Amino acid sequence: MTRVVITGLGNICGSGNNVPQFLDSLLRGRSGIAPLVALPKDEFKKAIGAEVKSYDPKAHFDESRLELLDRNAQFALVAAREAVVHAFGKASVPGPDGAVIIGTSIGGKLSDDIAADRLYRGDGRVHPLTIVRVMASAAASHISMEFGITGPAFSVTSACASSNHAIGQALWMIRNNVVPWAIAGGTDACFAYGLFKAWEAMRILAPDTCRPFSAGRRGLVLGEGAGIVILESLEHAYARGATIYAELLGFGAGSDAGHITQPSVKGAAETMRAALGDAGLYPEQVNYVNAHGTGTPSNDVAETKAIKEVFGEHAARLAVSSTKSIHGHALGAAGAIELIATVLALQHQFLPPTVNYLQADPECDLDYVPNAARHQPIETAMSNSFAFGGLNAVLLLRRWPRVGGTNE
Amino acid sequence: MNQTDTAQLEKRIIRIIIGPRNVDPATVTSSTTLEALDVDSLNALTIAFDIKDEFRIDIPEDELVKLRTVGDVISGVQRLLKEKEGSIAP
Repeated sequence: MTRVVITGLGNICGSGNNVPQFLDSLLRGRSGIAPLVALPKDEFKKAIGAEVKSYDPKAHFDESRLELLDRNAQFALVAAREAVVHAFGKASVPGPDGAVIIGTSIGGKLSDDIAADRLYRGDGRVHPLTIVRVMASAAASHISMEFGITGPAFSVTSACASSNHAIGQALWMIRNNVVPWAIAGGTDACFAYGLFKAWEAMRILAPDTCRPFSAGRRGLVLGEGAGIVILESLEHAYARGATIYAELLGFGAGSDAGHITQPSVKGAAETMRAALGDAGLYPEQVNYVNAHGTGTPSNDVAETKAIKEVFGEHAARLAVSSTKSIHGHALGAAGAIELIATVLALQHQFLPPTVNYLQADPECDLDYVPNAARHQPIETAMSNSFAFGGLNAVLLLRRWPRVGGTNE
Repeated sequence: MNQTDTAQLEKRIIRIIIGPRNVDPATVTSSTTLEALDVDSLNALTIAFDIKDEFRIDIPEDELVKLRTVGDVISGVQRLLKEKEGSIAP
């Protein structure tokens, strides 16, 4: 079977505008969650989120390009540029024959919000560029146009699992020799007035901060950004002498077929098992799980139970952390940002922490790497995404090069 | 409309046509083509939209596709403004 490796990383999120900054935040356990600046202060006095900071769109795009780009497409392009340079050493790709698969939960929601505001509360007019900014596939299009990629390009949407489904889809395509390489990941920019009000109405947002698996956790905290990885067949990577950062060993996808918001232990467990089966690994071979870990009371209990079900006694030796406590819940970008955190963990041999952790919850009794990163050898890691609507996607990664053995 | 008004009107229209493009307005004349300014069909829609914002006039679809130069846009706007009863410019 064609093996697939990760050869480039790009990231912009609430805890770093590029991969080195993000790595620093993970190592220091520094959370990007802060009072929101995007929304009107008078109405959202206490609102918090992990916003991308010190970001000037004009530093990245000329104005005639910007008028076509929703914030989510901007983030995707910024992260894709970083990943491409990281992988190929220059701002161009090896040829037009790759794929572009981008996850997004909400597409150009911010532009939609602005258009709706003028339509319903203003003069009733709608800007002619609204469609091209709002369409959920815009980020994939802009990446394909920027780099001249003529292979398959599309968006994947599955709420908070969108990125993992996108990366898994790209893995399948490379394995099946549809393309030799791909730009894959996810992007979302959710700090739009109407959307934030909708999240508030669900009463799922934490008023204080995001503290996954901890006693006293009160919900999730939204984040924004994009994570992009370059995937290549091992053969393609070898042929061009690429530096490899990790092997993408497996992808499991499944659905709860249950409730539209309540998580299912069975659905999560079966998807983790599917990823292990796809990778050909025993549960005991996994050292670290980057959890979905939203910080809601129900997710974290269900995910803990599912991990115990899958890993059995090994769960007690497993390190499990939620980096959402650092970069917030970036919805359709979450899985990609977390995959990058996991690749960095394998590359630099440390466990990213679950920050804001207060004390143990009796129902969440695993090693969550509380509050401080831990340096220890890790070989194999899992990254979980369990979305609203029961759409589950799990990725499995292995360190490259492997410790004490060959990669063959 | 006197000469000063006409010059002002032309300036406003040129500013709208340039929009977000990095072009010095001083280099744009009536004979500059929209193609030379990289105005494609999508940009033309934005220009028509912004003209309506500024002048409260609609450029009909069949006229929009015929516009080739900056001068075409200016004369079109002038004509539509004249047709608009009882007003020269908003």
